[in-house]
Amino acid sequence: MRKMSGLTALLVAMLLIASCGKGTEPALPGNGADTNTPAAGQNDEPETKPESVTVKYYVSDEEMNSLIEKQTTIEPAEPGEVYRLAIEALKQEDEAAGEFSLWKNAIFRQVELDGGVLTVDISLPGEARLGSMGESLALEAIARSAFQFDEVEALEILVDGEQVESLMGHEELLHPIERGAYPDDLNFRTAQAMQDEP
Amino acid sequence: MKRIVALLSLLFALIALYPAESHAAEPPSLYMNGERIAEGASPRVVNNFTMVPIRVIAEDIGYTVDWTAGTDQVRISNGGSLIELTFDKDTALVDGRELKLGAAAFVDKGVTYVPLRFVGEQLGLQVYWDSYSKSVFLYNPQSANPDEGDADGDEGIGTEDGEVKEPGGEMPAVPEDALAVVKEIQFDGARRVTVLFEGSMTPNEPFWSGTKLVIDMPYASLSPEIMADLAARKASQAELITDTRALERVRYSYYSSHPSTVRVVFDLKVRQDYEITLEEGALHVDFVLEELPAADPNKKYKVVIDAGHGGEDPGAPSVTGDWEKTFNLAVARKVYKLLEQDSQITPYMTRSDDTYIGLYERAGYANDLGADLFISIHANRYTSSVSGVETYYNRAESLKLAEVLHRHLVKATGLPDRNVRKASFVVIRETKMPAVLLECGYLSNEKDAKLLFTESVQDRIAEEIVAGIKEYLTAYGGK
Ligand SMILES: [Zn+2]
Repeated sequence: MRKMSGLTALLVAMLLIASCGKGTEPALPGNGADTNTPAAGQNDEPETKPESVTVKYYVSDEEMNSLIEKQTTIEPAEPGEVYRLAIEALKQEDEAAGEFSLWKNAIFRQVELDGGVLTVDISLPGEARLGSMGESLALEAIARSAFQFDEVEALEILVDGEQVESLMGHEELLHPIERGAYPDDLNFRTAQAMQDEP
Repeated sequence: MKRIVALLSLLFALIALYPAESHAAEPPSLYMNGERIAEGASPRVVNNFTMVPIRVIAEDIGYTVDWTAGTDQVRISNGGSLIELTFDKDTALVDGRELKLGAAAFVDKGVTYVPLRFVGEQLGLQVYWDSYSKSVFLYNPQSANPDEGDADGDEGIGTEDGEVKEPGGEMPAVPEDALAVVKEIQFDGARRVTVLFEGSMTPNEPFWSGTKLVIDMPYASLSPEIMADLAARKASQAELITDTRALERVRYSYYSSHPSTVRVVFDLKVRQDYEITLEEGALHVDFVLEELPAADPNKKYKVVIDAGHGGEDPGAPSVTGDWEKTFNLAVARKVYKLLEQDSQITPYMTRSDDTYIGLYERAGYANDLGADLFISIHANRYTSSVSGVETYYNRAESLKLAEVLHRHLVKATGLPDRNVRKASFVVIRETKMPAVLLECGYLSNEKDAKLLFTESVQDRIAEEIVAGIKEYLTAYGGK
């Protein structure tokens, strides 16, 4: 009977969550405006904050078939911090909405812009390692995040401070990745489109 | 809405944890084409294998099951093919060929149980396992009329029961529902087979059974002359021996009377592309391959097997606690061993132990060897819900290899087919011979991960990769 009451409690809790969730679809933050509307998955922010900036970030869908472009609001304390926060935004996800982060378990050790080159130093614990298509989409996601800033001309990804041949053992990691590696007019390279015969 | 669905499924999952209290006891059941069969003999899970009562399934689709008391052997046949099982032995003979069952057949209270997967594969049934109700759903894709003796998934033609043949001396009449009457089937000696008919014909979408292409023509019958000839010879099917290296023969039969259906089966050496053209009174099937590459017994093919990752690159972690690199190497070794036994193939491995080799180095190794094929073995990772098999290629010359191996990989794992896809992974891009990267399943998914770290499944994957390599080399030769 003990089990039963535990189950009942869970059911009640879940029904509550279900009814709360209903009708409160998170709205996308407007263009750099309303700092009082936290984006999905974010915690409440303190009252007074520096200027907020709207940035793009990229997640994948439930089936890992393509990238989805999202927007979120960040509040860099100093000008250079905007890049770090934009890269960190890649960790955001909303499973209920079918949006999954490709960078959730990665550690961004350092994100720094110097002379047009954005260097991102990464640590990849086991949990951060994906399969071949996941790696491919993850690379595209971080590159698109970096190149949303016009001043970023190249992206240099390091793993634990070093240049490596590949991030997760399938895709080539270029040093650096040049702007234009993922052209906007190609839209998002989706796995579906990749199925087309040559 | 998605959120609600997710919550509901979580709810069901939780309820399933407390079956005694919250879930009315519906015993695990067996369903055939949606109808429950074999009451009293439920499917059961033994050592992670789902075992099902074979007799009721086989008989339902027209096989006979013979067990001679006092022996430990069961024979399942439909006239066309024969399956022999031995209790407590985990292999079976299918038309004399030994096949692994995964788990041994056993008898309990007079009921013989065999692994579900085996039943699906060998009897040509589609299998769906509902983990919630612990029930097995079987579908007979060949026919909506399981009573028609349509049991022969592999051979394609299965009307050995004589049901439609009444040898009586006079010409059989054309069935009333037949809108088309097949008069003759011709072969042009090269790539074209033509079905000549009278009336109007609407063939079904062709389907593959192994390397056989099957076309059903509903509301059609064979001409009275052909039917009389078959009856006189007490044969159920007519044959056209084509005897090219690519196409062995064409078989055709009056396959079903509900509705009248003519089935044409093309026995091909390998799967290949074809084109169907329907014109007044003739249906043409054009195959792309006239001849297979000449079989040169002295030709040796070099096949490079690439176990993905290794050493400091562990690949993806598995929910089972293992690492991708371990799986990749285990399967690569098994493939290597099997290929070694083939006198026409010399296998190579990019790594044979737990060390990291660079991606360019792997491709360079195969290029320097002048290898004929390159096969990279991996396992995937994403969210816990995604499951299935993907095969990647980069250059156009690799597409055929990808298609052949993908089909074998789906068969070996029984996991969802997530398609052949194009990508630019280094080892498949930088190699100079047909090259593919196999993602054998998702280590982030519990079901996939458990399968991939099961030795017998690894064996099966290796066997199918090897079967795919041989099929490809037979059809297309080396580089
Ligand atoms: Zn991998």
